[in-house]
Amino acid sequence: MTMVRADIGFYLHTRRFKVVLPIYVILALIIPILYGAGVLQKPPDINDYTASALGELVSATVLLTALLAGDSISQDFGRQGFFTLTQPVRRSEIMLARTLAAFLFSEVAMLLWIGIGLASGYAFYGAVVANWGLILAISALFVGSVVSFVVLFSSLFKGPSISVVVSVLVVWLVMPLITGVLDLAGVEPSFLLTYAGDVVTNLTAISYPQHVTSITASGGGGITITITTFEPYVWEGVVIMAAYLVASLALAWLIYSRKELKDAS
Amino acid sequence: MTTEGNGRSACIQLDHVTKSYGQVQALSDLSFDIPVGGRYALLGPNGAGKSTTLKLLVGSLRPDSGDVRILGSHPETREAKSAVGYLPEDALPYRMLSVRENLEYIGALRGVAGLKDRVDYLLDELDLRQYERSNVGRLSRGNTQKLAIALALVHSPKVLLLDEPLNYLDIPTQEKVISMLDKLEGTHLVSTHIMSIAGRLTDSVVMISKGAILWEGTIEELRKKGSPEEPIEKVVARMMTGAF
Repeated sequence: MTMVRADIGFYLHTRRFKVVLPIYVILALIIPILYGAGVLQKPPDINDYTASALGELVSATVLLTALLAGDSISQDFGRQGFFTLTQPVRRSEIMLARTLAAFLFSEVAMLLWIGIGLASGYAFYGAVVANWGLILAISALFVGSVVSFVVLFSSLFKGPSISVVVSVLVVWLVMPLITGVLDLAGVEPSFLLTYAGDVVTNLTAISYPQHVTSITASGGGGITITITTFEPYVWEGVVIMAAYLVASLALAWLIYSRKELKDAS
Repeated sequence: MTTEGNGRSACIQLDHVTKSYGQVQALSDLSFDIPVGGRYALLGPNGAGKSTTLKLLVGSLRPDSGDVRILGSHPETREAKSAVGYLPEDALPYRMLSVRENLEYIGALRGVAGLKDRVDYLLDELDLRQYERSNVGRLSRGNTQKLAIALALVHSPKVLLLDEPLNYLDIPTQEKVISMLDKLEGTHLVSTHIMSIAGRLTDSVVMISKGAILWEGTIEELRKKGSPEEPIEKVVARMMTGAF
């Protein structure tokens, strides 16, 4: 617990936390404020409203988590590591503490966003979406899997800055990009964590979206393009998230437990 | 823990240790023992393998071959880590935390009893009181070094491993640290390339060069290797360059 408390202290002291969390909360407030102020016309029902309020939840949370936890392990392979890895504490405890602290922060942030979405929906419509409990539970699993995946990335690098940048690029840019390419190719991206994360917003719908939707567009000269989009089943999303969580933590632990502080000084 | 010929138990043991970084051989069949309560300097030119030796002793590195022990335990064990206080070269404590938070954090991880009093004592002894609320990132190099020394001492270690401890310190602070270390009990191994520092902090020397032992003995024996009027630094320089 001493380590978890200290790691929470680290996050509270970091500039990125002080900058990123307020931006995250402002993003969560934009949609409710726009609807509340009448700038946007309110959707007809609570489900459409909640889908809109939580629309950017997954990508924003992925970015926040990558920024917060992107150096959780790599910081120990710089000079600071001599003050962590020489203490009579097992590396497994250090890694667990770092992961838990990052999870707590990201989870609290995600709960804030969901809370703002649900509370504003209640204020506007006097109701909340039926699946709110499931949304909270699956979003917690999603945050856990993103944290684990980012921790894995942070164990691959010895420079904290590079590990943060690579983590952000992979989970926020590369994964959605691959999803777009696979949509064009008609392949389900069931190996991508961000794809699994779509379950969270899909659960706001009155009826859960279809697994496969194809749109064919015809252009001049007889050219037709078919774009197939996939929506993960709930069970599928849960399996992908759980697989990422377990596999990432196991791999990160393997790397962390064997790595030496070779040229930190 | 094994017992040496002099009847004292060995506190620090390196037995035929080799360590390479890729193609670079840092340590080559290095063996030496330091008895409990011994005050030893690990002396050698830049790149001799001194810091590598200390990193092996704190478990930050693992030997390619050979055996390393602290009080009979492998350096990565909780027993060995609990016994050791380590000051790395160019130390960088947690930049995001204040001076006091650093000391309280490490003290808490080590389960130091009466931690607040211990922290207060170290802050006063090392003239860090006025910076106790300052973040480490804002400290001068000298004050960062003083904090790193305090962090190595916070749990009153049985074994103290210091890598260039007087780096960045002004002369009055150097004297203060020397007198502080002098009063401490336990086994000390001080890595330095400066003979005068070895002479102030220790009474015996393990001299290494290119990762291998050059010479071992007391500073008195080392002095006797030169003529009476010859500075000891000249003797050491000749030994290190192989001119003996």
